[in-house]
Amino acid sequence: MKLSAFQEKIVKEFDYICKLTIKNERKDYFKHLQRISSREVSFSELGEKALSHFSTTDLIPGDYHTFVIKGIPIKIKSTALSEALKELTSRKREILLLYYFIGMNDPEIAKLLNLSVSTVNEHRLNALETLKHYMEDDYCEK
Amino acid sequence: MKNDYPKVPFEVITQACDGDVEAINEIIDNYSPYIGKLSLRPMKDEYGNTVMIVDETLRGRMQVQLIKKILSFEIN
Repeated sequence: MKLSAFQEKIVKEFDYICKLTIKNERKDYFKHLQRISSREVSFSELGEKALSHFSTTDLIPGDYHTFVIKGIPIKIKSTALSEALKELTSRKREILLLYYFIGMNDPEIAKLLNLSVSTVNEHRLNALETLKHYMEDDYCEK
Repeated sequence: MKNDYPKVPFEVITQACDGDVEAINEIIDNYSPYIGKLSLRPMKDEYGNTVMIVDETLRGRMQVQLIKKILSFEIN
């Protein structure tokens, strides 16, 4: 059977398109591989810092100091900080812990402790100042 | 010498464009040596020798692209 010129043209066109597709896919694949290999790092080459993300260390009760505020235990690892916190009056300590460890804001704390917002704010700033003095002195002694 | 692969007959192309599975399979069979040759990649075997091996992932990707192109091909 003799193919017409049109049919022959289609056959050639089709053949070209198929081969082009295959070749382009090959190029894409190698580009993809290169992109991956430029970012891949083997486990043994990872630094200590990156590796530490993959593990956790269990804390045993002796490792931290616990303060209980409104029935919620708050664990503090740093000895210096917990020593300093113990020096504060209980109200100031409560405000500090609620603000920085539980994440409440001044109006919320004021409502919880039946105080005015400005009192809470003042207490908090005072407490921070006291903490700073105490911890600085402590540091200088060492 | 350049290796000349056989071309797909016109009737098969028209059938494949209409979505005929048999025809599409025929086209893939027709191009499978070509795909096989282009998917060769140098790899190291366990003794450290470099061998050309067919990358199955690459082969699969090429086939998928080929089928996509066949279905979007228009005769005009």
